[in-house]
Amino acid sequence: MSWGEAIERARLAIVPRTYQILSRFSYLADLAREVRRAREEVVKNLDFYLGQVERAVGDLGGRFYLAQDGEEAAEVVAKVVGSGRLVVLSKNNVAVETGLRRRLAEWGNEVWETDLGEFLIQLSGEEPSHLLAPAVHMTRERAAEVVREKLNIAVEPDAAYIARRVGEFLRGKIIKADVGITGANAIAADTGAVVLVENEGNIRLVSSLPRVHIVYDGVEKLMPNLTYAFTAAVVQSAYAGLYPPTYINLSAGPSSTADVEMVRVTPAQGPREFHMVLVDNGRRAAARDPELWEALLCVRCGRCHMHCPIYLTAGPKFGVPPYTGPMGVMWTAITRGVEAAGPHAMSCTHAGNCRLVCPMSIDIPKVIRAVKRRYITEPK
Amino acid sequence: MSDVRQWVKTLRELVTYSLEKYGLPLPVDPGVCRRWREGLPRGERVLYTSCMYQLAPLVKRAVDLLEKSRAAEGGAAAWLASAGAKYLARFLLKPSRDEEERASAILKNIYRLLERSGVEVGVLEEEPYSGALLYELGFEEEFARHAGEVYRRLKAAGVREVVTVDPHTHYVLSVVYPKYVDGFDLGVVNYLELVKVSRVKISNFVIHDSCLYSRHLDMYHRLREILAPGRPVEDPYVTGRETSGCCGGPVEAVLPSLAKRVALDRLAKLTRLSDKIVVACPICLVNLGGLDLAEVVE
Repeated sequence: MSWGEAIERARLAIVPRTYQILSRFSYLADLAREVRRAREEVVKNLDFYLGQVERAVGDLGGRFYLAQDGEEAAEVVAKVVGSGRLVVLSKNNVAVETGLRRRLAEWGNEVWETDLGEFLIQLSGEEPSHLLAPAVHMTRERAAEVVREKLNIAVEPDAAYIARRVGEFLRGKIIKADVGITGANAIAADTGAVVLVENEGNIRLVSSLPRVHIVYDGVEKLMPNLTYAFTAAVVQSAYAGLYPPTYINLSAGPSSTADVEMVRVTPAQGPREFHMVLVDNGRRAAARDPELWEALLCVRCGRCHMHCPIYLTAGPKFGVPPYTGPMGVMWTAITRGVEAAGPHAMSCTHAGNCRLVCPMSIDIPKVIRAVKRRYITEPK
Repeated sequence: MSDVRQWVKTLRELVTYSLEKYGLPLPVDPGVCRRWREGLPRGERVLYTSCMYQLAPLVKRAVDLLEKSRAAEGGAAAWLASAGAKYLARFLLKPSRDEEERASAILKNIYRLLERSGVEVGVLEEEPYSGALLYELGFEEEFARHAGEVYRRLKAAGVREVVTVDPHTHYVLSVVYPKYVDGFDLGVVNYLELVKVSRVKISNFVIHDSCLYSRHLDMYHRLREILAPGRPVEDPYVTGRETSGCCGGPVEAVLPSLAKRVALDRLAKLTRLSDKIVVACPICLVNLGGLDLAEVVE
């Protein structure tokens, strides 16, 4: 089956469902506007909120790291993890951006993706084609073939069957894992609490079963407080067409208890170590950029992909994975520079669908136009 | 994609050279743009076509020619280094007789429709090109210079208001010019905002919306008001304002093979609804062309 057929199936599943959600729960549009305001506040004062979250994570009994680039970020995690460990990851675009999985494997660790789509990408060695559904280019037949070939597990070409068999395999890994690495949908700067949205149930396992939990994401995920962080997660899931999400998780530091004399102590039954690694990798420069800054408001719902005529035709070649599609062109510029993003910006027809469906009302065509202009007019 | 920047620079050479020599973004005899309006009166309110209907088929031809000559001369890099634009500029592109006649018929229809709607409008003796292609290719400095010159010429011709006939010209004049041209004070209105229509000749057609009209200029509903008597076929996931697709035209000059694939994907969706497609843009007309396509005024 071609990319065109696979993505059209996905589009006709997710687009109507998202419209139904937004029409049925009309408060979501108001929440999206609130989130935009809060995110603008953070982007305009990013260093202030970074200072705040660093202190907050320390207060929780965790360790905070700010990494300047992808290499430094992966290095920090590699040092925390060490070698010879079993590491489980939940789907994490920043991990893809920075090559974290490869780095950990190089250090002699056994590393598994636990999100089904990302797991299929790991097994197949292919590149993710969508921010939220990295294996959207794979048909069920191809997914079954990958699982059969790489894991020697017989599976039927049926989505539910594949999910069950892969779930059994991964559960065995998660239970034995030493380290769990998650991303963050949003992070409350005032408390250091991390909010994570999911449907599979892997994130709550990855973030609570291993004795070490590492949160690994970009600096732009900060929100002023927990209410806004939670709201951002709600908005993200709704505009991704999965509302209510099956789970919203909150992690704030290592596990703790106050059951004896009401004194809070750590650890309890969950992780005994909590690390937060926030990655800059071009984000802070973008926050100061008069044209690129708006891209930092993106909540990663992936909605713009499914409305973009270029993504629907060109697929993951529009942008650099994991950042594909309209938001991906902006984010390729932020994380890899205009030189890498420019050729993709030249593919944009400025159809404008992305701007209309973006929950943050980001003027994506305008940002892409700026990337295009810089690419063709600035010296190489 | 590594050659994209070089290719676009080649296009810039071609466009700026042609603008200088012919006043048009391609090497085209300006007479082609004038013929349809011979004998029509002048005025302060003018129908401003920017020659888009005559030029649109030629963009494709220019790119084909560039591509062919590039292939013929042994590899992209070598050819691009040898000033491809100047090579192309030796040719004077011409729309075919059918293309020119169709463009003239569309523009005359628009003019008559405005007359019948009680809108008095004149034409220009010499009509400068808007510069839309420079803006769309990302050459904003060149665009700004050109836009300033166009404004000066329109003012010198005594123009107070322009009536545009296509989305690209309407967008640059109404949205972009005010940002790039100091003191820009011309009225800009699109013919679709002025015409009164009571009858539509065909029925059960599908509308392919221009991206600019529908999503950047808020004219999605206006086009439907005009075409309502023909009962267009709608599908919320094919013809919706947020869900409809592009014809690929805006990347025709830069990435022609991508433009073609985008057009084919769009056509596949549209023809599931009807084999009669109505467009309202010269670029869509060319890029989706080949089937039973009609301009809105035809």
